[in-house]
Amino acid sequence: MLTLKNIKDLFSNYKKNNENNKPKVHIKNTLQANIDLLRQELDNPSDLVIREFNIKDYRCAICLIDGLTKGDYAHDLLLKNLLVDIWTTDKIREIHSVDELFSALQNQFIALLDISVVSEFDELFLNLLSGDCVLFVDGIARAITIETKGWVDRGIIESSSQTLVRGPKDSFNETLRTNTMLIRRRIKDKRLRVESRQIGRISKTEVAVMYIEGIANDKIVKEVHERLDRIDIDGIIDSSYIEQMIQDHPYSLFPTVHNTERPDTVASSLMCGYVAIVVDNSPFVLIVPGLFITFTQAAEDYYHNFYFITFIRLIRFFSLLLALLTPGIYIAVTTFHQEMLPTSLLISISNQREGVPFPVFIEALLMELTFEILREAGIRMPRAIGSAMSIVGALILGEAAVNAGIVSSFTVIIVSLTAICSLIIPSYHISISIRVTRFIFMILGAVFGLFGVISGLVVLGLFLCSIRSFGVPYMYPFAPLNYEGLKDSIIRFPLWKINLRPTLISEHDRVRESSDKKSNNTGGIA
Amino acid sequence: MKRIIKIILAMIITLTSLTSCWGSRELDDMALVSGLAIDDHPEGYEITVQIMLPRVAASEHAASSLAVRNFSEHGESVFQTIRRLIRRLSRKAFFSHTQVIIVHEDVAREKLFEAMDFFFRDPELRGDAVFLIAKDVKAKDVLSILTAMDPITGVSVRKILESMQKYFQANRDLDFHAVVASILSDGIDASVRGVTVKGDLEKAKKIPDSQESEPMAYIVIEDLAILKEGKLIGWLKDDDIKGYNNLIAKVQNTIITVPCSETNFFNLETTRFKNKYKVVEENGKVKVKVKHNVTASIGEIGCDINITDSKEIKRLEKIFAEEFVMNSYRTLEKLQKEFKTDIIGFGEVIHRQKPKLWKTLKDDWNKHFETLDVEITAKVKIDKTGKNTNNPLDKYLKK
Repeated sequence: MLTLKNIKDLFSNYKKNNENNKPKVHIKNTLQANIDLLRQELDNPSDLVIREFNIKDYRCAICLIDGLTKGDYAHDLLLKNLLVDIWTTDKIREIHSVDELFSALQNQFIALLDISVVSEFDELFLNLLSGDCVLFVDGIARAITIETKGWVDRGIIESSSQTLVRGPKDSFNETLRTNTMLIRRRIKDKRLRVESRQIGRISKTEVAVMYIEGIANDKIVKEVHERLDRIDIDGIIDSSYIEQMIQDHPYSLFPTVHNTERPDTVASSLMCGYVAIVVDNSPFVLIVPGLFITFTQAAEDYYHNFYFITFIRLIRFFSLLLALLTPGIYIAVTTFHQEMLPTSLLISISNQREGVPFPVFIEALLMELTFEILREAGIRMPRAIGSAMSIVGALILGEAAVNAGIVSSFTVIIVSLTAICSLIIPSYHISISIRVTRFIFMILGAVFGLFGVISGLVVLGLFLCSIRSFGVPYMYPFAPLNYEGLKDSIIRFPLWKINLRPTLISEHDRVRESSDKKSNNTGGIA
Repeated sequence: MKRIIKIILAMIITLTSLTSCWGSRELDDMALVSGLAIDDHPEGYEITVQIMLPRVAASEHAASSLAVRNFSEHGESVFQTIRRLIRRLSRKAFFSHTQVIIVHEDVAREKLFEAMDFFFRDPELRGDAVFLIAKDVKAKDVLSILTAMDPITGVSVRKILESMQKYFQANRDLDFHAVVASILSDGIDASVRGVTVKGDLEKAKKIPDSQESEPMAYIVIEDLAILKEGKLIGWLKDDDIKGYNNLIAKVQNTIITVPCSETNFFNLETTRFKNKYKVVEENGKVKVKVKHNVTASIGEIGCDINITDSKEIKRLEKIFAEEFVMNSYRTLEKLQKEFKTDIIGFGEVIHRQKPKLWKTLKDDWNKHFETLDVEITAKVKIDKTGKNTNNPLDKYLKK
């Protein structure tokens, strides 16, 4: 029987097997043995390409995985070089032994940037399966791996989940190197650190931790590394795997790790002292610590006039509250506190409620659930039936349900309002949390009235203030209150007024802006 | 730890299901009361509630169909009678949105306290319902008048009073809470607006007046009921309400008219009306000085006068100041001699300005009020003359 103890034993055995019983296989001396072993280990897959050829009298072979290498690198720079171009050099005539050939190959004949010599098959497989070419020479018990990684990717296109009107339009894609490049292009400081590691026993996914030394808090960087070290999983399919594994409060509804598709957001976060985690195969870069305030800020917030952005942010916080509380308060007021409504509003709501067969709570719950279903369907369905969906959703469910008297139109208004309000929040991440929390508030409102809603708010506030992300209080800069941090929170000060980086996040170098006000700009051309 | 979580979860689940949402009430289980009328009845009281019909009131046909229904019941006490109404209503009456409470003058004369106790005690009823006393007609008749503009009578009456309060005549105690507060206070007695119905009452009950361009019957707010120690003792007529308004200075924007010839009038629209009260003691006698500070603009000129001339304006100001003072004195005399009731609140003024003196007067204030020495002065400032300078029809007026 498979009991918990059995499973635990299974795990420990498995770990032992993995760690200890792994003999290292060295590369053989003969070419044929190496190729045989390669074929045997990979079970001769159809995308394995092995090209054998001679240089002088020495037998060589290039192995690569089709599709993972850049074609022109493998063909033009490597193969053509070795078969044709080396004969134009004098060096080839000076080679008289296989060792001389091997060192010449290392030093002279391969016109590609990144090459290395490996002597073990494990390492060789990793390189080969990452897209490198492997060059065997008969009689040498080592191999040269040549970096020729290159495959078809999406290219750098506009972000689909975090769009903006003004500002850089590029976004990350699934290639780690492209992503680090996009960040590097924005920060040319030598202190920018890129520390890579592989996570995932089977997937062997490359994960890069990026931060700016001297600005980022050392403790946070150390904590990130430690948490990444602790991950022991078979595969990392997306950066969200990492996020879930390193979160402070794994059971919390509210996210404590920020993610973004936008390199400009990452660059500005790095310069504030945040730490970024770039994961191969994922266009979403993680940013830690993830604070409540970071989820409510959009990249565009820094590209427009601060008056306008302050206005927008006020609207955003207001709609955040609306998205969270409107259905709950609606239920509470219409079932417990009818005296709170202005008379004419009461008459109008009351009119719509006439003949509706369900209590307000059931009615609102039905509509909210319907909307959640619609939204989920909208994401999952094939694009082509999108318009059919919107007709069914808007017309049939909304209009017809009201006409049939199953729901009141006021409830429909409430539901649409909350739906729109939850979409205004820049981070999809936190809007999910709010969508779920809303149902809790609806139940509280239905059972205890406004008393329940307010108690729920108190508990929520206490919870949010109690959690931390990588040691930083989640509600910073509101709790603990920090004046410098408040300059970029609900209101956004002009850029030249936000002089210091956030206290708890950046440690040493805290001056962000120190120009002598904008007064000298006013003279100008006139 | 897991045990505790389990226990807490179990508690939450049972608690939420056991409460069965105590106190929750669905909107479609309530009969919304918009107005309440209390009449005298041999048995005790006759109580009429006006129930709003939201389905009609909120629809576009509100004006042409009945948006309200009145239900009457009689019984020995107010609460008992209201409960009896349940026999006639399919839903429980909900009083929080009561707009207006109308009490018949007989009830107000004899047993106002007894009738009002329920409303003051019941937490459901809001204190901001307008309080009126029906004059010459039954209180329930007022609620039965249907108006075109506001299909709900309660709302309609309330709106009439609210705009009167702003632009015409104000009274001190508009809503239920204020009336009770005045009754309870030592230095003031309550004054409540009277309401009556003019026109053909019987016809008006049947059809909403929107079917005729001229209403068959209509509600009129007139006169002011004086409640001495919580009992109706008499009515202050419309003429005297002018003086009452001056003395309480609650309405900022109103009209004052002075004849300038036998048939013609000057009209002044006040834009600011403030009173200054001062209590002085002269030779052991208390004296209250009241000064009306009025800013006004010219509203209408019926006679030939050159208003571009500042001297003429000065003259006008003087005439109007005299008018204000005269009105105030006349009303005051009536209150002191005829009703012997302080509805202006001179007692409160003394209380505020001379608390020690007030202690000696408090116990039989109404006696002291009868002989209270009041000096009234007025200062009128005309700061606007309107769009015209002189009357464009001057040359005809001269003839």
